[in-house]
This record gives sequence, structure tokens and C-alpha cells, in this order.
Amino acid sequence: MSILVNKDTRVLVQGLTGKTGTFHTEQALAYYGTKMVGGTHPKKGGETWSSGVDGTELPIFASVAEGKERTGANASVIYVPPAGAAAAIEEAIDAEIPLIVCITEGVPVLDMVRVKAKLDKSKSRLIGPNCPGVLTPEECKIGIMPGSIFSKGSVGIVSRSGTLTYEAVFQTTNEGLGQTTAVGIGGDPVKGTEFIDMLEMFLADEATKSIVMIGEIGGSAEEDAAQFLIDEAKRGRKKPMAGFIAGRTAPPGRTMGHAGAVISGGKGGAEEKIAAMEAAGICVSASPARIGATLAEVLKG
Amino acid sequence: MKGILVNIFGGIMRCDVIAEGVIAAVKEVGLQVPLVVRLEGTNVKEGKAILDQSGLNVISADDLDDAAQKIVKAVQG
Repeated sequence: MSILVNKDTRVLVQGLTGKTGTFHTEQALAYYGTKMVGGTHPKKGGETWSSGVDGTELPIFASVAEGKERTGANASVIYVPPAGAAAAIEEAIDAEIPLIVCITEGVPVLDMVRVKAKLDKSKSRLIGPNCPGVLTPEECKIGIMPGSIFSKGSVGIVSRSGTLTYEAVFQTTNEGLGQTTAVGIGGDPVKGTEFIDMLEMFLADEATKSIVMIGEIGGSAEEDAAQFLIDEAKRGRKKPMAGFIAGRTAPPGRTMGHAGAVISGGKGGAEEKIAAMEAAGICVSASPARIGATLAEVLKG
Repeated sequence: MKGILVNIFGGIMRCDVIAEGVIAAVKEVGLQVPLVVRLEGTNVKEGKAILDQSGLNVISADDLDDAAQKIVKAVQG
């Protein structure tokens, strides 16, 4: 099993005709034949996209609604530039696409506040923005994660950082554990999906035997997730977990790489997050190079 | 500044593009300090090949721990 995506997921690409959309769609098609079913572009409906790698052709539709109707798409991935990204998400919500993954970095926060309100009343789940996407090994790759580092296995991975998602994947592969699904939830302060949503899914997924959670400074999502885990453990739902928090040396007030990674008003520091996660039973690695080894040690007991 | 560590796990960024950028930068500034480069992810084979074939004095690392140890060793001489 897996969460969010599997071999039957049918993916529509919003922004397929651009350079980034093209490159990563070629990569997705090459990854165990992820079912990429078409693209959208408001002015290029009726045209055909073709892969520069093997000539695979995909239809371009003028709208997400049309694309969904014609292809049976149940997921969309967004490679649209920042100014148009919120409108792209809203179009996918209106078309009732169940899973929307927005890769775009730099979506205005005010746009995301509007999107979030719409999302709360919708049938869609949004992953991102400013995220690497979702990947279930040997089944489906949505987004920009490098497929070569994955192996099918038992670890669920959720992270605010793209690169650290890859580190956790690479290291759990090297430990021989493999992954059920890896999800990058994104580095922006206002986003579609938080840690708690993903932890709930990983706890419910039978194939997921352990979980890696990678947070960073800023906000209180890690503390909220820790409280959720404590509450669930009281109900008897618990899985072995390892974690990491990026930004331990960050000075207060400075934004570190991600828009959401900033200690403000004395809140959102690394030490508080690490303490909260450890109180919830997560073994937090001191080094980003030892996330996989830390999880392996937890599993050995 | 006694040494440089470049650590790239390429997702949206391709390792071959990074490798070409590193080589161009080393040539342009005439680098005098040790440089450790750790590449992994998208197009990693192409990236490592570009670095290896450059003939430049770039220390290649396999993972983050390896990279950290190599740059510390190189700086301490």
C-alpha cells in the first residue's frame, strides 16, 4: 500500500508546455510509466505535446475541467510561474481534482490565503506550494523528486524541505528499508497540507511500518504534529519515528531559504521543536546525514 | 575562508547543470582553496562525469557525512 498516489493515479499537468513542465513530465513517464494523461494551457487546447526523449504524445486541453472529463485524471501537478499559480490551483479545485500538487516556488502569501479558504470548502487536497511533490516507489511520481534514489519498502516520509526529503529517501534506501510514499509538503508559511494530515495517513496505512518527519524553524506545525502523535498514542496508534529539524543555528528574524523558515516573535525556534518531537517519542537526529541511521537504530530497539 | 563545500541533492536542479557551473566558476576565479563537491539526484551520473573529466582539482564526495569529513580534512591539511 501507499498513501495519496499509486499505479492507478492519472495525472494532468498544468504548465506542461513550459521547459520545467516538459522536463519533469519526461522524467515521470520514465519512472515506472507514471500515468501522465495530458496537459493544460488556456491558449493551446487541441495541440499535442511530445516528449523529447521517446516521442510519447500527450493531448493539451484548454482547461482542467475539460482535461479531467476527457482523460479521467484524478490528480494534477502545477508547473505554472508564481503569478499564475494560485489561479491554476483554483481552476483545479473548481474541476474537483482530488489531488493537486503545486511545485511552484514564490506564490504570493496573500494568494495562498485566498486559495486555502477555497480549499477548506472543497473536495480537493493540495500538496504544496513550493514543494517537490509526492512519490510512491515503482508506481507513481508526481513532481520533481529524483526517482533513482527510491526503493519500495516500509518507511513513510514527510518533510517541509525538498532536499532533505531526498536525503531521507536516499538514506532509508541505503539502510535497506525503502519507502511506502514520500511527501514534500513545502516550505511556504501557508500551504495546502500540514504534517498532521500526512501523519494520520501514514498511521492508517498498513504497509507503512515507520515514519520519518523532517521539519524546520518557523511556525508551529511540528509542535502541533507532536501533540497529535501524543494524543494518537493514547488511543493505541503509534509507529516508530525518526526526525530532523533544520535551522538549529539560524539567527532570529532571518528567513532561511524557505519563506516559512523564520523565527519570529521568539517563536518557531529549533530547540522547542526538537523537544516537542522527542516528547512525542520521535528520535531526532542531530545531523541531516544520519536520518536513515537514526531510524534504523530506533527499529533495532 | 579556507575551503568550500558544495552539497547539491538535485530534484528540480540537474546535477549536470551544477557541475558545469562549478567548473566555470573554478576557472573564472582561479580557485586557491580546497573544493569538495557532493552531487546526488537528478542526472547525477552526467554531473559526476563532467567533474571527473574536467581535470580540475575538485574533491568528489559520495554522501553528506563523507563530504563534511573530506572538507574538514582538506582544510586542516
